[in-house]
Amino acid sequence: MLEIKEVSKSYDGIKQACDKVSLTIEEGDLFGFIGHNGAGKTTLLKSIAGIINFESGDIIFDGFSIKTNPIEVKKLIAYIPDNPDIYESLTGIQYLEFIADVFKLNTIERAREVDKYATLFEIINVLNNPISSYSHGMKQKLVIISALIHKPKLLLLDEPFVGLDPKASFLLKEVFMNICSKGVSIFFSTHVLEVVEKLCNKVAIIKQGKIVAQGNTQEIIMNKSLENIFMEIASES
Amino acid sequence: MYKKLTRLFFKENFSIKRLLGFDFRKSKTKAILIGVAIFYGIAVFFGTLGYLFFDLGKILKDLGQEQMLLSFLTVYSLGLSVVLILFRASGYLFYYKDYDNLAPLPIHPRTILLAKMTVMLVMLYVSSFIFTLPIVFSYFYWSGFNVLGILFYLIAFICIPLVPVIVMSFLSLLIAIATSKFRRSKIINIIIIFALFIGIFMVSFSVNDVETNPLTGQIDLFAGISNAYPPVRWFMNAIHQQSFVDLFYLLGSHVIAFTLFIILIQGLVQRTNQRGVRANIRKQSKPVRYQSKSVLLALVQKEFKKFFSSTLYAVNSGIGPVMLIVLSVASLFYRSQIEEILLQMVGANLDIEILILAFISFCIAMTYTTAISLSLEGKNFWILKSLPIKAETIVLSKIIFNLLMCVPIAIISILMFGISIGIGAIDQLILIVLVVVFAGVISTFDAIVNLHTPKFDFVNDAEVVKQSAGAFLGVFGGFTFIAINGFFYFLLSDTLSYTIITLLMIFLNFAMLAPLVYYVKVKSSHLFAKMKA
Repeated sequence: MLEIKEVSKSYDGIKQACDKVSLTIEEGDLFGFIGHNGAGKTTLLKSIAGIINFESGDIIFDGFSIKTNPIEVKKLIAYIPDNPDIYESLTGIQYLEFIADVFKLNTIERAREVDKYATLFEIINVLNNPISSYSHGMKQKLVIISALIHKPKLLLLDEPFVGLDPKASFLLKEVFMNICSKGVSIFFSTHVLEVVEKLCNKVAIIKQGKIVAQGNTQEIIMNKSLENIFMEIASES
Repeated sequence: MYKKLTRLFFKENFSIKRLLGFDFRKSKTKAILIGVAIFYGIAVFFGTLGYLFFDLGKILKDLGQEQMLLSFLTVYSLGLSVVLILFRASGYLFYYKDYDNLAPLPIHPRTILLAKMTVMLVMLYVSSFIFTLPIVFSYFYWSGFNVLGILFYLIAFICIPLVPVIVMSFLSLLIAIATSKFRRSKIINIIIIFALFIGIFMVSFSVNDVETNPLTGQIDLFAGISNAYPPVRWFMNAIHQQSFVDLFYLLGSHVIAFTLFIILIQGLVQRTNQRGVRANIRKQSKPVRYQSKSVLLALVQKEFKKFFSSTLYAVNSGIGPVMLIVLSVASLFYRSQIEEILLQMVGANLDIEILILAFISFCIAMTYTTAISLSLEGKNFWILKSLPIKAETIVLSKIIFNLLMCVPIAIISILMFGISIGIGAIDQLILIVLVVVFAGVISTFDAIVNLHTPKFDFVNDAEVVKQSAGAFLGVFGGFTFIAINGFFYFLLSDTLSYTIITLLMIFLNFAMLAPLVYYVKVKSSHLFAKMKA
């Protein structure tokens, strides 16, 4: 279970990118995180992943705090950024091997997982090519594979569908549902409200660093569409 | 539009925040410390070169040949233009990264080309001016300051790099096109550039004589260049004799050549940028082979891949080991000249063993990968921050990589120098241990430098490899450690034997290494956590 307790983060000491954000993500949750540009989505995701520090509050996953036990938390999670900036000097397989080495996967495990996901996302035949020759979508697929091969208990994704072709988007949604059914929690940000509406069991909306709505997707939406809810919240001063 | 575009490119490339890698208004202590270190570097540079050229100017003045200083000025300026443009032309002109942003805008391609060219030239002129300032000062001091001379100098100074800009731009493009056909194009590129540098290095030393001032040995070479390349002569005559005719030749020939160049390359610049660097995706049937490694080994392997994927990184931070291996191999064949060459390089009259030690230490200090490799993570830094790897392990991998770059070659060099010069087995062993510990000091110190001066926001590697505070402090910090060892040797050289002093130097370097290692161990995690990915 991921507990985000009153997390506050400011980049300039004046404006709060995250203002006392509290959220709980249960095992198996597929949690959508929406908000307009600059609302604080990426800041919160990076804080959970231990990429940036935050001033107050705490983030606890499986009993470990990201502040005091970052390595233990990072062993259990995977983070995918909004832009797949990865080592262009490596080949696809060298990057996946690097990640597998960090997570100490043995050769049999890594072979099985890489083969499974690289075949699914149709990049198995180009894994020996340098990443510098990959398109944006191929890099995105590689980052997704690197996040999946070590079987994290929590998957954090920032705009995961950007740059993916329709088939890959469909496959990623299938993977999401499949791993969530096995108890993995997924917390992802997106601007595609339909995806949240159809896919996520829970949703949170962030506005100017504050959570303005959160809960079960169906309870939040009720008889309306998520787009209507989002627009209503966005227009409130 | 040209002005707006140029201003934008300048802000993009040369803002203080960009050069330092942090906002100095937000971190005053860091700014002061870096300011002091930069001042130290500048003082060392101007102090050393200033003294040498001032001394040379005095000698030439006595001979009535102070105009020869101008040939130094021209040749150094030409050399710097060759090196800078060879590295930069491709990125500035033929394959610029913001082409996709600029091309759709309603701006004439010629305007973009002119703005890009302006930024590249200003970068060249500023570097060249700073580098040659000690020569300019020495010349005007010994030949007398006069307004017309300075005016002629400024005009001629602007002209002189233009021909190398033209030639090197084409050469840079040719190398990029030719090597892109090969699978290991980057490595071939690195070898070509190293071969070019070693060629220049060997030629310059092969014509030198040993004198009190090492620069005096270059007079004949530069006199030869000024005879073979008329613009050098025009430059000298224009300033020294204040000859309007020579200034006219220089200005006319260079402006015409450069204008033609700009007109002719417009189409080429369009084509190369449109085509871009072709991505060669080959579907492979070859099965993937998996191999598990320790995290540390995986990180070191990643460092090697990064090093050999960037020509600029490899050439700048790898020149030390290359110089070391070239000179030590050469020492086997040119035993008699090696002492003279080392005397010239070090610039002080010392025993051959100490000259070798000084040279090896210099080459190790020039291997400054740890001072920049963290910064070079750049946009990929999020990977390391999000993975369960301790900060100390990451820093250790970077230190190990730097040691692997310089230590094995330094050991081989000591053995080769040992054969060529006849250093005894015990002294060789002591030298090896000393050099290994010294390399540890430099690598660890550089790692600390980069922990304090990370610069992740850059457009191309040059901003980190050549222009960052990390690179500057890494190299000059290394020279400081050489100076500390040199001072220690100087203090004891009258009372103790060479062997005893070098043994004591091992302890001295251990004493410097221990607190540095402790600092890395204790502070890495904290400093890492503060870095923004």
